[in-house]
Formats: sequence, C-alpha cells, structure tokens
Amino acid sequence: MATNDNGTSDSSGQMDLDRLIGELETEAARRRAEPGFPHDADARLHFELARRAPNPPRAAAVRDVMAQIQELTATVGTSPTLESAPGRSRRHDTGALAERLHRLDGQVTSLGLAVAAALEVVAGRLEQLDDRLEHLETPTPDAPPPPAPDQPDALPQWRARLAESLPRGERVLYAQSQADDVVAELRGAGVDAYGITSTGSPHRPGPDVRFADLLTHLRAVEDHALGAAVLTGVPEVMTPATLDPLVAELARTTSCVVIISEAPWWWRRRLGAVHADLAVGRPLDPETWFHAFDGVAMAGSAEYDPGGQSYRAVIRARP
Amino acid sequence: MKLGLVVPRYGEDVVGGIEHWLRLLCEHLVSRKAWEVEVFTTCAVSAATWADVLAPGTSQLHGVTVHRRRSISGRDPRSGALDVAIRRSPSVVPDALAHRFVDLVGPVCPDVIDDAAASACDLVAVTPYLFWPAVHAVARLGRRTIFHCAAHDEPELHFPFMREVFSAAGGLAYNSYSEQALVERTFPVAHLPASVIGATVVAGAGDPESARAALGLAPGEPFVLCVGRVERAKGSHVLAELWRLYRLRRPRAPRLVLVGPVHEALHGDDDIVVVGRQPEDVKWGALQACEFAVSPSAWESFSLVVLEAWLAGTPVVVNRRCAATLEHCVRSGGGLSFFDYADFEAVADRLLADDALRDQLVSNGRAYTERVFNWTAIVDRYETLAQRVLARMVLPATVPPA
Repeated sequence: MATNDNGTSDSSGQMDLDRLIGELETEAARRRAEPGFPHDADARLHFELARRAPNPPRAAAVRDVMAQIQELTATVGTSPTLESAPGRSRRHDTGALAERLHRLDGQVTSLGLAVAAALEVVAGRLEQLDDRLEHLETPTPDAPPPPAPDQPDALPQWRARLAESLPRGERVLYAQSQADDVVAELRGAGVDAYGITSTGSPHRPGPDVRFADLLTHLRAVEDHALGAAVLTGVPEVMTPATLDPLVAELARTTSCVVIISEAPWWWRRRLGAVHADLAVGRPLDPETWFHAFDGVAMAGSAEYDPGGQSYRAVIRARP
Repeated sequence: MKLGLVVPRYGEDVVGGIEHWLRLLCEHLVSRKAWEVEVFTTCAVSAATWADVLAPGTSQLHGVTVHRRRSISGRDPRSGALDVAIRRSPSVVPDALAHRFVDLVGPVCPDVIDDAAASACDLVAVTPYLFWPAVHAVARLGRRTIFHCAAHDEPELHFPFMREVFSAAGGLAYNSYSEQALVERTFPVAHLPASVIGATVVAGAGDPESARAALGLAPGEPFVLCVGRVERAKGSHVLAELWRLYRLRRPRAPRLVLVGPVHEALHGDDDIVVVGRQPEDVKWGALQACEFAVSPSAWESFSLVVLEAWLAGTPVVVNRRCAATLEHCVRSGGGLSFFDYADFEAVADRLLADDALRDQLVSNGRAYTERVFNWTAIVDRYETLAQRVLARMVLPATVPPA
C-alpha cells in the first residue's frame, strides 16, 4: 500500500466509499421527495447548520470596487491634463477610460442590486417569521397523526367522485397539469369541462396548467361565466402574494370552487392552519382557503381521506 | 535543539485541543528527540476567564520547563458586545478596533512575550492564532516562530492585521490539509516552510457497562454519542434538534448522549441525555459502547475525538461543513458525513442497521489513525519542519519586529 510522507493512502480498499456515499445521497434525495418528509424542520435545521458554519466574508469584493473607484477618481481628476502615451491618441485614452468606467458602473450596479435583493428576501422572511411567532400556540391536541409512509396515493378517490359536486349545463374549468384524461372523464359524465392548453402541446389537447396560466386565463373570463372551477395539484402551493389575486378572480368568475389537494395537511402542528400556510412553499390547509374565500363572500367545507394524505374542499358563494 | 512554546495556558488540568496536544508534543520531543523545551505561559487554566489560578514562577512538568506569569487582564465580558459588532464585516474592521477586541479577549500578558524573546531558544512555537499571546509573540519573534495557528474560517482570521501576523512567522505547523489550504488562500504564506503535523491519540481504558451506569443508561442500552464541549458553536444544540427529529420519525432509535462540559445550557429529555464532563475512563467506555459517535461541529481544526472514536472501535459521523473532520473521514474511509437532516437520517439509518459497514469504517479509521498520527511519525515531521525553519532564519523577516 503506497503512502506519502503524511501517511495518506488508500485505506478503504475493501470498501467502495464513493459508492457508499453515492447510495446515501440518493437515499437522502429519495427521502426529501417522499410525502411526509419534514421540510419545515429540515429547512430550520439547515439554516442553523449553515449559520454555525464557516462563511468567509465577502467584503473583499466591495473593497475591490472601492479601490477601482479611487483609482478612477484620481485618473479623472487629472483628465484635463491627461497626457497621451507615446504612440497612442488622446481619443484612445478617453475611450479606454470610458470603458473602465462602464465596467465599474456595471459592477457597482450589480453589487447594489444584489444587496437590494438580499435585503428584500431577508425583510420578507423576517416579516413571515414575525407573523408566525405571534401566532405560536401549543400543539393541537386533535392534530391528526402523520400518515404511514407507504400510504397509497389517495387522489383517484376524489377524481372518481368529482362529477357529483359539479353543475351540469355550465362550463367547468378543470385546472391541473397533464390531466386531459380527467377532463375527458368529466365530459363523459355530462359535465361541460375544459382545461387550459396554453402550455401544452398543440398535438395533445387537454389541460396543462401552471399558476401563471391559470390566473391569466381567469382574468380573460367574463364575470360569472363558469359553473365551477376545480383546482388540483399545482395551484394549491400558493404564497401570500399569489393567493389573494387567484381567489379574487375565482370569486368573480364562478360561484363554486372545488379544491383537491394531495399534499399532506397534518404538518401544521404548532401553528394555526392559516398562519402556518402563509409561509412560503406550503401546501395549503383547507382552513386557509376558507379564510381567503371568506373575504370574497364564499364559504365551504372540507372532507379528508382517512390517511390524512388528501382532502377535497368545496367552496360556494354565500346566498 | 532548544524549543520554546508560547501558549495562553498550559498544564495537565487544561482541557483544550491545541493546548493539550502541544503539551504532549513538547513532552515527546523531550523524550524522543532529547530536545530542551521551555514553555512561556500564564497562570490561567480556563479559557472562559483566563483567571490566574496557578502559581507564577518556573516549574518542571514531565521534563518540560514551564515559566508562568500573571496576566494584566483576562477575558473582559465587554468582548462579547464587541464581538457582535466585528463579526459582521471582520475584514474591514480598523486595526485599532481589532486589537482592542484581542485585548479584551485576552489574556494580556506581555511578560510571556518578553520571556520568550529573551530566552535562548532556537525556535519558539506559538499557538493559537486568535489570542493575545500569539498575536504579539509572532510579531515580536518573527522568523524564530513555528506558528501552530489552529485556524478556522472564523471572523478573527479575517482581521486585516492578521495578514502581518501570519506573514511574520518563520514556519507554519498545521493540523490538517484543509487548515493549510485555508491559511494559504487567506494569507501570502505559501512560500514559508510548512507541514501538516497533526496530533495523536492513545487509546484509553474504559468499560462499556461501567460507562453506561455512569451515564445513567440501562445495562446494554444502545446509544449514540457526542463528546465535546456542549455549546452552540460546537453544534451540540443543532445535533440535539436533529436527533429529536430523528427520534420523532424513528421512535425506536436509541437515545443520544452528550458527554462534555456544558458551557451553554442544553436540557435533556426522552431523546437526549446530557451528562456533563466525565472522567476519562467513562469517556472511553462510552466510546466503546455507543453505536456511533457524532461530531456536529463545523469549527474543528483537528478533532481528537474523531480519532479517539476510531481507536475505541466506533464509527463516526461528521458535519460536512467542517473541513478538518471531513478530511479525516475522506482520507481514512472511516466515517460518514451529513449536510442536512435528510443526509443525517439516511446515514443514521444505515449505520444503525449495518454492522458490517460499521466494522469496516472502524477498521479503516483505526488504521489511518495508527499509521498517520503515531508519535514516531509526528516528531519526525516536526523535526524536519524545525530544520527547514532554522535554515531559513538567515533571511530577513517580511515584517520587522514590532
């Protein structure tokens, strides 16, 4: 076995450590993707680990910029008497100076934008944390238990019962990515359903909805033109900034909204549902939808599957 | 060869990685190389206060001559307030403010520097970089110093005046390649004589069942162990949170036991057992008994505990953000690492379920420890480094003596 003067050698010859590390990383990635993974706690711990870790200061970049400013200031300060070097025109020197100033301007602007963006993110996050801290409460005693990891996908049961809550004879918007088969089923059940195909293939009719497309589409729909709107999957992950505009458009265009969520809703153990949801990147609890729709004179109820994996909320305009 | 050592505290009662390790190095240089070693230090034992508790004067300890001097000041509580301010942008802190901070952290003891400067030592080892004695000793002694900087990528390293301190040294002794890389990318010192010396450990005696009893565990109870100071900077609290979450998702997982002096309160519960500082035999017994050991700190410059765990027959899990402990694991193939909770869970699941993997990791780690960090290899490396520094002393120092 070869070793260097510090004794480093391949001591792991009997074990493929790289392969083991690869397996563990794959395993970790699988866990992050599985339903019920504690993303909230993971994010908090990740933040804490990073906060307690080496983080070299980046002030050198600022100092570099300041040094360049000082250098250029000195150069510009002498520009009236700027002497051209032999073999170079004064125009050439002025052009080079302008180019340097332009580069410096770009650096300063980039730096300023980066700082502004970082501060904005920090300020936003602080507001959210502040809001959550105000509403911390003891764990809800009747909080449902986490589902078993091997809980089967509960979404099909809601799809099978979808038609029962939808009106006949009126247009129904079904919003879910890659769900043209569901639209076809609804049509077969007598519901005048349609999807949004703006992001889908022109050769593959059916809905392919992203939030931006949904909101854009709704803004083009006339008042009360829809008998119902069904939201499944992607649109349920809302932020405080995007939730209210969507609810406003739904209230304007329809009197019945059906929301089907396959995201686990049991994660809100320490927060009230609404305030917990108003953190970025949360699957929304039904209570949050009710809270939002209450502001546009709509109310509803939710039905959960026994495993806590999914729910269906039906929200209607108040009489 | 006559070697001096400037260190803020020295003695058998001193608990601290670099101080403890340098005491052992001095003793082995005396016994194995017949060097004369003189230590210039304060009367302090605790780094939390630097209070003078030992008698000043000259004494002998295991063949090493120790000169102790009283400090002018110890750790001033106001350093904490200043610490908050300077940490935001340490690289642009004015020198006067940075020196004020170093003064407040202490221990301020000019007599130690004077003694070392007036001594007949050929070379003077100085450690660690962030305390007053090292800052002033390297500047004063210049090319006579072998700088055991024990550097981490922490704010103090980026004080502007540190560039002069590091550049003034005659040579640098590192604990790890990652520390060397950090220092050489931070300061223009790559041209100076340098060597990764490392440290060594000797397995201690301990009995697993006696350790369980001392730790308040049931006979035969499996547990996971963390040894070291219990404080936030060492990662103890975040490890406790990781383990609580792990136990929430794995209710049958063993408990986590934290052994070490509690500097910042951490309360035990059903998941965590905090037992405070324990005798060496309990520590070694616990290392032998546990399922695996965790080093959650991101701020280690060497981490003796990782090597101790391997010698005790225990695999280790380290924080991937810590270059030094990760280096041990990668070089040896004896440990695994985590970056976030998902990693941690995957690694813990695997280690708790795979005896063969644990055995293989331990075998790799133990072989690496015994081969790289044995005293024969270490004192030879140190002697080579000292000769290179001596050979270079004829050249003028980059920074003139203060």
